[in-house]
Amino acid sequence: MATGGTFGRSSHEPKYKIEFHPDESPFHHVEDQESLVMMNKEGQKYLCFLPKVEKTKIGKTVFQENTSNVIVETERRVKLTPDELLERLKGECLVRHEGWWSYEFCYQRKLRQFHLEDEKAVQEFILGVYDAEATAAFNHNLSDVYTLKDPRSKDASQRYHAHQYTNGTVCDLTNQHRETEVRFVCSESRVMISSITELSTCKYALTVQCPLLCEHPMFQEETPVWHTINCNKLPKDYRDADVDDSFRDKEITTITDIEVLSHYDSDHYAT
Amino acid sequence: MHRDAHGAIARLFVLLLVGLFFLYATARPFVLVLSKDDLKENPPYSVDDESSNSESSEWEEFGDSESKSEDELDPGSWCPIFEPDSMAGASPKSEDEALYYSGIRKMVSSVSSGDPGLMEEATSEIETAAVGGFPHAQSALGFLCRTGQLREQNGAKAFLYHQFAADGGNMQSKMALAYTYLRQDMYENAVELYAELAEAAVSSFLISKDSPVIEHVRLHTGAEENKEALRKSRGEEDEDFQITEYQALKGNAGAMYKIGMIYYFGLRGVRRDHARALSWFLKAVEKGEPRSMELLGEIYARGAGVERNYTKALEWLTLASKQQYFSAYNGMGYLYVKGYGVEKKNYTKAKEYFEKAANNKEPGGHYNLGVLYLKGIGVKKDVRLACNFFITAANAGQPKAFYQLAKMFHTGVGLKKNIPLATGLYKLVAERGPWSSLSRWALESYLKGEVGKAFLLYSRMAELGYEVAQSNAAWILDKFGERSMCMGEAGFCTDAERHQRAHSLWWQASEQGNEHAALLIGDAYYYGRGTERDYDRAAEAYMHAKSQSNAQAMFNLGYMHEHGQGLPFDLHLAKRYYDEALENDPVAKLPVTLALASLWIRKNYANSFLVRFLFGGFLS
Repeated sequence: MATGGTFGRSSHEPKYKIEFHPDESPFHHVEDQESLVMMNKEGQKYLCFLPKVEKTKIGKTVFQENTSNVIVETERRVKLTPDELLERLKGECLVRHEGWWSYEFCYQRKLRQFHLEDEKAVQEFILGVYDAEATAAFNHNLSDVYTLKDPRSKDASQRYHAHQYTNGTVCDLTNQHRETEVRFVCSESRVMISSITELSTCKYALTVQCPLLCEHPMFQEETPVWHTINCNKLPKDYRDADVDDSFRDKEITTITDIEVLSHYDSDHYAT
Repeated sequence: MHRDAHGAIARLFVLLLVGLFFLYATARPFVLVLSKDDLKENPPYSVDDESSNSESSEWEEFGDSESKSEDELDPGSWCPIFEPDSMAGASPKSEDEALYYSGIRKMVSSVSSGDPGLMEEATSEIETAAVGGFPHAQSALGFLCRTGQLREQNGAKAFLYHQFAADGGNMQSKMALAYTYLRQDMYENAVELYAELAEAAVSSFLISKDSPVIEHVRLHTGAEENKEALRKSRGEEDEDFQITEYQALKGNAGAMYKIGMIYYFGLRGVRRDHARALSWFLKAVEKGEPRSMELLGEIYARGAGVERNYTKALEWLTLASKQQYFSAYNGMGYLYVKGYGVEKKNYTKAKEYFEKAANNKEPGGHYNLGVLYLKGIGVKKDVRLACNFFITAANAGQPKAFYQLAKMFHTGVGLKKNIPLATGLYKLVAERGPWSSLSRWALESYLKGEVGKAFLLYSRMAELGYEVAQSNAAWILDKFGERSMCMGEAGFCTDAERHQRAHSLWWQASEQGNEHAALLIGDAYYYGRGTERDYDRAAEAYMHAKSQSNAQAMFNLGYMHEHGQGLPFDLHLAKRYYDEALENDPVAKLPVTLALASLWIRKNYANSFLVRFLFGGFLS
């Protein structure tokens, strides 16, 4: 289902940063971590390790196929369920102004739409009241994974956790009560309403960005991860060809045989 | 007294809002909304003095640095490849440099001749130079890694190369890094880089007047080529240019000035040529043309195509001013502040001259006065007043004023600290730096039919964060397909690679305010162009465009609701979207009327034969 609104920029771009490690505490790389030898303008060489590749695409397909197993497993491993993680929102209300209308969402209470005139709310509609039963029924089926499809790429999607809000003001057009599905997504930014949209007449979807949810591994898929490139200084007489061999050797010897290394410079660290 | 000040402030930022709106309309959307909070409440003088004293030495304007040549401002630029005449005689300073330029040359040839083998040679030469620590090669390699040319696309490697290149002094890599930080909302990092870049850009601007807006021409409107804009950019083959040239040859001083300007700035697709510009201006001043006199003053002061000569500069500027050409006072004031071409510095005279310019509606005057008050040159330091002057100048589109305002937002002096806003303003200025020549070359190539070259150059600019370039590059991919000479992982781009790149470029453009881009992404999903058909994603993308008030997107959403494609079947919402589309774009009247009519029929005669006949066939 489409939700529209604007996607936060940060939620999809990997964040890169470089760390230059001092000689005394070089970076220790992991097996088969790709590295590059870089030289700066002054001729100082560095060995830079690229972050372990972020190929989430593969992970995603697996995720979608074995959802029920995966979910149950992780639920067990993780201490808290999404609802428990969201508990901290209890008693909080969020407001969003969108043109003529303003929306106020109070966690597990109600969602209302109103027009502000001189700081007073005129024209108010209740878009839904928290319905614990409906929510429980909706989330009961563990194998259902609810995701928002992200047009940024044909595979990208963001998982959300839903609460149902029903029994709002009656709608003239449909003669039914207004209802809203409140969707919580993981996002590094602060807690806020990221969008409100009308799925069909008088049925709404409100998306709430929530860093709290990021602690749950299932919701983390789309968060920006810090991809750190780690660089160690290399001695000036360093030769590229020796990279793999020399480092492997040093790794072994340094730990066991420190005296043997006395003839090495202090720069020759195992990394 | 206090109330007056308040009133003045209120008026000033109404002015600012109006002015910036103008900028918004002419430049690509960057909406600045200043509120009262932004203007700092005026603390007692001494506080301001103390806090900004240490900073005033950093603030370049009227500082002692000599203006640098463009080559120094944008080292490693591809100028030797695209404007070989201007760099004639410059021999490579090192082996790495020679390798680098050879690599770039091959890279460019490979896309114009369509030879991936050449590209491979190019990359290996560039790599060799990069391994040797040559920053400009590292910058080029960053570009190749980010776009994935004959290698896998790798953002981390690109970042790493750009970092080293930037440390080595390559400005374009700084642009790329700054833009990367911006996209990641890492404003603290972005602002530092953009500040540096903006400063370099400003030093390449003219002293007295604002350079005519070197437009980054958008190749297309919607999906079609923008023939109008392109016609005007055809350089020397353009009719208008030829007419003006004819008039100039016949002795029309105004025309001489125009031609001189075109050659001096490299406008309308004409290659920059300072020597020719100079000769035209000299001819024009013989006829007493004042604007040319001012330009000559500028030329001698900068040493652009002649040996720097401040005395002559002052002469020409004075002559121009005598003809009531008030902009010249800016140049004169500048010379008196720096003490160039005059006996000694004379701040009082400088201020007088700037005031003359300002009082005659010359924005440069406001700007320069702003600088005087900011640094307390010849006047008592008054940051508030300086800020007001800058705002007036910014309203008139003076990019240097944007720079000063950005600085104020950055440091929190005179305006409330606002890093994201500072970043945005700096970026506007930085994008006018010498590296924007890439745009000229790209357009030139495109007009000559060398689409591959154009695409390569626009891709580079896209990496640097230029929205117009992102949009142009994406459009070329969509429109020209294989002819774009797009290089993928293993030779020419496959269809999928082309789609993915176009998609990513459109998305970046859309992030920067191009609402058309989101629409195109939606279309690609809706029609299954280059990707699987996906109505859900199409709807999401259209929603994104709709939030930027794109009427076509609204119409599409209405249609999708009407037919239950990607969105729930809902005739009420369909009607609402159709209405919205019409509201946002009166041109939509016909399609909207038809759509509403069909809705009406469906609603009121839901089960009739007519409906089943009409829509049974159309429903997909």
